Amino acid sequence: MKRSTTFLGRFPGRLVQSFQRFTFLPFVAATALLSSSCLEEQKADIVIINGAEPGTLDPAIVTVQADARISHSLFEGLARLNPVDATPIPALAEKWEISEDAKTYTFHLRTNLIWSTGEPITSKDVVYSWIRVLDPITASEYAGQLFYVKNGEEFSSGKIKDPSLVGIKALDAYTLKVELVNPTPFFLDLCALTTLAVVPQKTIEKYGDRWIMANPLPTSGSYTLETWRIHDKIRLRKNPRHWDAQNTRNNIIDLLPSESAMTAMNLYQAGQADVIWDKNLIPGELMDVLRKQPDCHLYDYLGTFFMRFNTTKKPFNDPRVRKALALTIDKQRIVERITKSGEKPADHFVPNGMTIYKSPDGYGYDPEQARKFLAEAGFPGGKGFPTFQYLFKVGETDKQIGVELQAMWRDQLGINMELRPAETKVYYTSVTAMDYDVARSSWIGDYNDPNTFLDMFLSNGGNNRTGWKNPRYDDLLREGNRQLDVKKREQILQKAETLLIHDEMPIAPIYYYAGVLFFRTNEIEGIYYNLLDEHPFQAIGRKQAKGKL
Amino acid sequence: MYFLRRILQMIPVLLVVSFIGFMLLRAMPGNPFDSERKPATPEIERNLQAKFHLDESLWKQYLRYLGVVGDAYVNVSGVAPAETGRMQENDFFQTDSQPLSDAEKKEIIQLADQTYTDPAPVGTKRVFLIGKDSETLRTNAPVRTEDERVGYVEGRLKAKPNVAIVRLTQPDLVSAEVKASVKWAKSGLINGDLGPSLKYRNHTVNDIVKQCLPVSMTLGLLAFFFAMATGIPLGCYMALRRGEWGDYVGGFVAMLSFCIPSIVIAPLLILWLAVKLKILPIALWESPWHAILPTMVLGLYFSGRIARLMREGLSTTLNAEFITTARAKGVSESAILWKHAFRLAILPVLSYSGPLLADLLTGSFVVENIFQIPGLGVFFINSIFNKDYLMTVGLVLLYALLLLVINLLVDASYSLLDRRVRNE
Amino acid sequence: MNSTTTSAPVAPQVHLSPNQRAWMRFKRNRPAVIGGIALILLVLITIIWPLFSSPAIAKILPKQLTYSQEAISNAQFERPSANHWFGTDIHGRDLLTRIFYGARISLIVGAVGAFVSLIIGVSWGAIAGYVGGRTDNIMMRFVDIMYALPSIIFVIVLKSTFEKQLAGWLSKTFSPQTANYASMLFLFIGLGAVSWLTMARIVRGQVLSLRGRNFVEASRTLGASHARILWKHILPNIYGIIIVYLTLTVPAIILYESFLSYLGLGIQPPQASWGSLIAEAVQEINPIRIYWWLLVFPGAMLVSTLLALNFLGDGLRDAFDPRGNK
Repeated sequence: MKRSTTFLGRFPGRLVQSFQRFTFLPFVAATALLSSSCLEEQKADIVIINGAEPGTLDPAIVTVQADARISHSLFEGLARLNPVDATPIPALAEKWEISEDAKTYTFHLRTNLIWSTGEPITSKDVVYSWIRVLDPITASEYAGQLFYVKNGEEFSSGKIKDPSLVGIKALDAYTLKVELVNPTPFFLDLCALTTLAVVPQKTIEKYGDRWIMANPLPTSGSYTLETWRIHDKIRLRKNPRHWDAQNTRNNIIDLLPSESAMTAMNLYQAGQADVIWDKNLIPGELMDVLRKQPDCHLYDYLGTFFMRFNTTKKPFNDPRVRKALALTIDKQRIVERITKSGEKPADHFVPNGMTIYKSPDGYGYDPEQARKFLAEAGFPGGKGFPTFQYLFKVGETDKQIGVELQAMWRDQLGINMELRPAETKVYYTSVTAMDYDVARSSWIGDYNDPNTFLDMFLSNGGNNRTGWKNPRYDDLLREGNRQLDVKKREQILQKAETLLIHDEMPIAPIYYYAGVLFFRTNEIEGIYYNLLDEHPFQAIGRKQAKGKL
Repeated sequence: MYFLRRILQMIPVLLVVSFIGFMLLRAMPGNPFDSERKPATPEIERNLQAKFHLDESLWKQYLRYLGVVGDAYVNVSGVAPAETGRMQENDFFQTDSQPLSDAEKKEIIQLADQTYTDPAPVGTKRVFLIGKDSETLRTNAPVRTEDERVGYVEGRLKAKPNVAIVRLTQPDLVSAEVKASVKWAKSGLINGDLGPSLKYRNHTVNDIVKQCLPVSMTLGLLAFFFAMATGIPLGCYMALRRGEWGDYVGGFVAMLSFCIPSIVIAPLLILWLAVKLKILPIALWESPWHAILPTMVLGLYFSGRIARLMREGLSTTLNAEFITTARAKGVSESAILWKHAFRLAILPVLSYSGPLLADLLTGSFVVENIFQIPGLGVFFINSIFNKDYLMTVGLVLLYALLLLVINLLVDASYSLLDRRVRNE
Repeated sequence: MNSTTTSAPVAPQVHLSPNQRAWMRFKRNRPAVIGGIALILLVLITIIWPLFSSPAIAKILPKQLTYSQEAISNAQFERPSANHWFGTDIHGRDLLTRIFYGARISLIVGAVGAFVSLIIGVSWGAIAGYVGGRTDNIMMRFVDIMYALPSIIFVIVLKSTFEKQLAGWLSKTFSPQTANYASMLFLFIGLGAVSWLTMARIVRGQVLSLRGRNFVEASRTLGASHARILWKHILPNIYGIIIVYLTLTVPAIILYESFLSYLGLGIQPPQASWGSLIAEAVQEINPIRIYWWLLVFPGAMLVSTLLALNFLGDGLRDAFDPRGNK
């Protein structure tokens, strides 16, 4: 079956393809039934159940990890992540130098870089891509990732109009100079983010927002986009012009969007998919059985499920009340009976497993102490404690956790909580507007550094959303991030985290997410466990026939 | 005549639906761009709002959706000022015929140099666009040749609002002999454009409808025929066996069918037919085989209802005077049934099937979700929760249109089947 | 038809009002009577069930009946046993208790749907069909518009705009506990708002067909008022379809509530309804194991209630059918 895109005009060529699929009327369907299969699509090397339908594959706009994984296989940045441990390694840039004060980076691009359509990739493209992320017209939600670059924030907010003032310059076709505002220990990790990937200027300017659907689409990563049928399938084909194409293991990868965990698991069990890697697509209620299977892979992951207290509201403005509530949460029970997917109870905010940071100790489950705290705060035995609401977003697990919390607080502290489920967007809006008493929250780290967690609770941080303002915390964090000595930095940041999870507790950590992957170990290789849950497509492949092993 | 009038009436009805729908949606709490992580600065949020015009007044947004208010863009033709770099005296595009004096040009260049102190980035070029109508241009309005986007409006000179600064991103496609004009973009409902999706940012609502509606319609029609083909015979059987065992058993079966929701029946059928017996596919939409289970699940739910309505319709009709008269005249039972009774008995089913068909054709959330079918039903629900306003309004309108058309057809067939019904 | 033929000789002998005759006929219809009794029993149990868990009464009852609705325990996913007759759910809550608490909500939801579609739907459709012309046109286009707008949006908007105010008012005027009912009320309004539309269409279609018939024409020439014609001549002829459609509306609306619960817009947890119990149970249907009791018991309750309702409906319909007088 050949694809012809000519008859329906030039641009949304890719959109037309779906018509050739099974969309004919029932009468035709009946006859087609007799004439057996109507579909002769080439079989993919690997089928991955990826997540919900991607909102976008534009690297500058992507915010969902499942979408970013696809986008990152199409568009590469200066650095990329090592598939094994998710540390940054050279990608489009072959090497780089960092100045003495750690504020200037000089990147040297490879000289053999070409787009999948054949034109060369130069430092101009990198400058364009980064400026595009900052450009107000692009409206990139992740523009903040470039605020570490000099004048990045000013350009994004429109305070300066001239992009040439932003601290990224092309010295020649293959050399780039980047100036930072402050020394940023994790800047190379940022360079490996999808947001900063290199995108094709001509195509974007020609087609505007729908540029991803252009056919052909020039890509800079190890794959090209062959098909994108909404809610149906995304098919990637190897980009033979990628600088590292000899290490790209598959020709064709199919990505299935799914929103039903049970369907995803059924497809996987029936052998119609090789990998499931989205947490939302793992049936949590079955994990106590599934986790014992050899193809279920559990590992540490940079994500924390926690609770926010609205510290501007009575009685939650009292740290003793917050502590009382936090200490009554039987995290073990929640992890064992409700979530069941290998999560670990959390006594501190930054998850375990970071190489350069270990969190200080926080509180565990201690209802005895909790009752004391509550009595000290003026509510002995929960007397006089107002009924309050627990805000969470609609979803089975969240609801179940809410039911458990309600009972724990009622039984242990004698206080009354009401469950307030909200649709996802309303939940976010309410948390942002501080229209809640206690709210469920979660945070997934962007890069392997405690800062990606701790900087949330800066007094004026947009993600703070607890109303908690602590100048000492701000100072400690600022001081820590200026510190170049790793050991000293760790100590300073530990002091900050102690404020957060021991002294003040504007939040109560509940558990750390676990990374969950399903793939058959005897068939698939190249997927590694790492803290960021990043699995570059390029490294994933099917194991060769047994003879070779 | 009656039907022509009904067709014309659809326009105001659709307008009302679009208006109420639009305003109701905007009255919902929540913001399409709120998420677990907030953008680093409020400016980023403002940029997002501005991009989709959410910062305008509701009225204006609605009019924009209709296509009454639109965006102007610049249409240029010709081939380009090859040099790039600072603005010069020959970099003037005019949209009206009043020539500029050299002094005026100098003044404009001077003003521009004060605002835009930097040169345009390499490979792009700034030019002036002058004319009364250029005042209608918004910042970022596109500049296009007949078939390509070659730049955008960067801003306007404060002192001279009729001078727009245009950034040509593809200057080699525009020439010295340039003719420029400001035009209104064809967009909005009146041009058949349902607007962009706020969630699926690489697609427009039209793109999504074009891809997914055929799938939903195929599945919907199959399910409709399935429901009719099982429901009507069962209903007739029950009516003819009224008060006997067959009636009770049939009634129980019909009842099971509409008491068991598809969220229950779908997993059970998948478990049994696809996972255990492996005779049908689990999910996806690839071959006619893949349509069987979803058709059954979707159709079963309605076949019980149709059976009940059919039973009621037929047993009422069989009791009616004219049937008794016909019997007395000695007309055979089967002739009574098929020639006289059936035509009237089907009327309740017909009334019911109008909205039913419109429902089915626009997809089902549950079935599409469980069977991973790329139809519209999932978008219907998800867009409401994602606050993807334009998508929801678009889908509601599509549904309304289908509903109106089908109801019209139902009303038409009413007067065909029952001559006593006059449509006036 | 059997029942109508046997009743024929009874009617003319004694002088009974039409209602009394209907009642006689109804009593003779065994399934309908059983259905009615079952429904009344269910409503009674539902009303008194919460009393069981109050300490004074709990002493005399077997403990299996006295679990509280909200108490969580370690007995997660326990099969039906002597302790928990219907088993337990993920939080170790007793399913039997939850089903009877859930019955309240589901029955109210069903009743609201039935009531609205009976009052608004029937009169709307009857008037539109009988008056005809421009009135009919406008009324039916209104139905089209209402039908086209997704009811989920109504529920969301109503809840978000008015719930807080109403909850505040309720807790001030009555007790703080009643604030909970605010969200429920909007759920009912939202469900009610859509439940009458199809009924209106069906009734209109029937009336349209009936008003041209001889007996209507006849009573018109005899000078009967429109209200009388509608009430005495036309409506009795469509009782059947109205009752049948009511018995279709009730399950539809109960299940729609379960869909809303599934989307998180339905009943407020930790409360339960049959719909939400079924929606929760669906999660446990999978190839690896099935916690069947979670699905079977609420499902069976729903089906048997609706079955009873159906028989009752059929009985009423036959009893009031004017042609049954023959």
